[in-house]
Amino acid sequence: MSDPSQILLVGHPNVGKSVLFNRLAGASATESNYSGTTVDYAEGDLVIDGDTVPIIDTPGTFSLDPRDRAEEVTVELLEDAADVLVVGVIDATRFERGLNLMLELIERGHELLVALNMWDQARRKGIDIDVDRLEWLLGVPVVPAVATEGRGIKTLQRRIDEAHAPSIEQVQTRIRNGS
Amino acid sequence: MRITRLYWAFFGASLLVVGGIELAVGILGVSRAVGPVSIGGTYVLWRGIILATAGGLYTHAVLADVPSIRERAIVVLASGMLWITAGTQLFTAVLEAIPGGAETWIAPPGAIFGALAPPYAPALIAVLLTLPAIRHVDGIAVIDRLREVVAS
Amino acid sequence: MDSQLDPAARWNLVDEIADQTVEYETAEASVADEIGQLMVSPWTGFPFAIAVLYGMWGFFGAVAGFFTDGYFVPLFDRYWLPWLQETFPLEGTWVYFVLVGDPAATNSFEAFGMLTSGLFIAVGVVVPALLALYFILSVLEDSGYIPRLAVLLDTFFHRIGLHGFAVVPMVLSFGCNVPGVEATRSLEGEKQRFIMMTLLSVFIPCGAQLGVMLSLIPQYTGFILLYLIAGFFVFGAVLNRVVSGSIPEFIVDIPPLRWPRPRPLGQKLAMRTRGFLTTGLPFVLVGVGVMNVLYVTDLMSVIGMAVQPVLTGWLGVPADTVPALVAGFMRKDLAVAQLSAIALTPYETVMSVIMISLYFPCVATFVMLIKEGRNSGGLTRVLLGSLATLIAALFIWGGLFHLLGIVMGVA
Repeated sequence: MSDPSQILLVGHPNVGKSVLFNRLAGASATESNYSGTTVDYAEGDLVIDGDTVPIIDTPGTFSLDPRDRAEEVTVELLEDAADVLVVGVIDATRFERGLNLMLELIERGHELLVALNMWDQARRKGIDIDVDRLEWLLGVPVVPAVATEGRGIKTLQRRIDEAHAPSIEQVQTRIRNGS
Repeated sequence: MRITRLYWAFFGASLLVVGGIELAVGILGVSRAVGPVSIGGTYVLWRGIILATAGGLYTHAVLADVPSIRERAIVVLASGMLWITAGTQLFTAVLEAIPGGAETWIAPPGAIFGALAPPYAPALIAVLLTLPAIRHVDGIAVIDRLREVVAS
Repeated sequence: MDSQLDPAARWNLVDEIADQTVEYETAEASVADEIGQLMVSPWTGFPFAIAVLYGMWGFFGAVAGFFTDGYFVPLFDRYWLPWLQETFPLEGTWVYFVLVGDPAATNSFEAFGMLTSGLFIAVGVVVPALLALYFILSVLEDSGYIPRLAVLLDTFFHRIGLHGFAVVPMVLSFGCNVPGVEATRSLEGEKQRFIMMTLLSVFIPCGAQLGVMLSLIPQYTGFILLYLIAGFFVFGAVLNRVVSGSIPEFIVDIPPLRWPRPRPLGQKLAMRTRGFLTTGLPFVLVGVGVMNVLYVTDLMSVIGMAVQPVLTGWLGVPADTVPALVAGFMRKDLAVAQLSAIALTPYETVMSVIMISLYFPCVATFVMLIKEGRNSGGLTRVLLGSLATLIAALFIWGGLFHLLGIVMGVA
């Protein structure tokens, strides 16, 4: 794909988005657990293959049908620029609801790459996610990560240009064939 | 399992008594030092409440019929209350000693260590007795790693 | 346009994907998860919350005392103040009075100048308090405890039209009203922010004031605190009915308990402190300047004369307390300290302290109220609303205490 104009980090509140952002951009945004802190989004720069691309940490979002100010901000950021690339961040311990948001992103035709954050906590809770199969089903790269410890960040950065925008019908077909 | 239960039950009951004494001291406004233990100072009333409720939690955990995981969690939670209380007192004692009065900017090391000398508040002594609770703590990365190190 | 699914179809898809990719091993629930649940259930949650708050104020008192009493007081009193009094030109003019204050003052609090008392309050008192409080708050946030405390207290706050998250500004305010009022910006909706910042600045005594109260009048501190907190909830319930607007529901998302990491913690601490130094500090200095202009123009004694009949008649305290009241504009803790120098009956002592707590926020809180009020329903609305609440609180809540005193035969 061509170089994106902007990279957006999108995910639910408290999935470690801000930490991931700090790891990627090295800027001084802060991590927080409680609602309200990230309503003002943080912006930084990410270097891919020598090119600098702006990266934005969007406010925590439950759904793309906005229900509050923070979610409106995220949707606006998504719609503003034409060729944005979305890094969808999922809390692996709360896999399903994160996946729901990822599907919404796919439905809207965004170039997507998924970060399965808090991978360590999921493993500790006995949640075992088949990453390769998930990648095949969704048709976008899926990278397990532990943002707080910096694990998976390199891979994420390396695979950013593999981001892809499958159609939701393709996803549905693969799921039907898979089961 | 029986012995540890007995241990926590006994520990909890003693905390209830000591916390009760601190509460009484806080209400009556008298201070006492018996051997290495001193009871009194600002907020002694609150320390009494914390110690007594922690004692209540320990005894409740082992006497009530709760699942083992809950029992362990309550023991850790009650120990956490004591860790906070004792940590705050140690921290305060050290920070108060560092400026070292009118003439110096930083007190000599001896004076700072001197602030850590006995007598101690009951919570500080109780903390030593809560150490067995550490083996119940999991799901917190730092302590998990600590236990791995200790085990290896 | 791309095809979009309806929510039910999308969740079906999620379930199918999860079926094909996720396996749940029947792992034993971790003790940490269990502890997280204990923290929000009342019987275990409240004792633990008391311990956390104890640790918080203990830490706050130790750090604030370490910097303020251990270093800033000697630094300002022994070096900065004498040097400034010696070298600053224009002694005797109003410029000198506004910037340096009393040329004969022996400590930085009593000098009352922008560069003496103003700088001392802002740098020597408020900054250490902020550092300590922001540190604790960041630890509590990053560990995931704050949302649990919010859930635990939600029921109580609902009665006064607030959500459990209002506990954050409230807890901060007991340390220092300034970050407390600032933290109201995390609350949703203008109504909620307005109610909270008004209640905080009127009813909640700050850590410094509590400290002085504990050392000078320990036997009454508990009663005074209870009376003020009762006032907080009573006036909160009234404001909730009087103030128009609604309070939006929000979804409380409880994250797992986590061990705070030093790096994000440091970053957050640095950002918050920088925020205060660049935006809050100038406000405090200007506030002190304005106060000094009030003094120079003698407006302050006019105010003092005006409130005197209220003090003696309605509240039953002697006129001697007026100077202490005026000092309370700067620092409420020292106002309480000044009171202890006046011969008062126990009733008069308690009444005066309650009055000092209620009557006006200190200058640093006041300027923060102005700053935050602008995005909480407009400056005029917030200031007039707060003022009205304040006057009502002083007359009704203070008068009620006088009435109690009369009934009990002590006033």
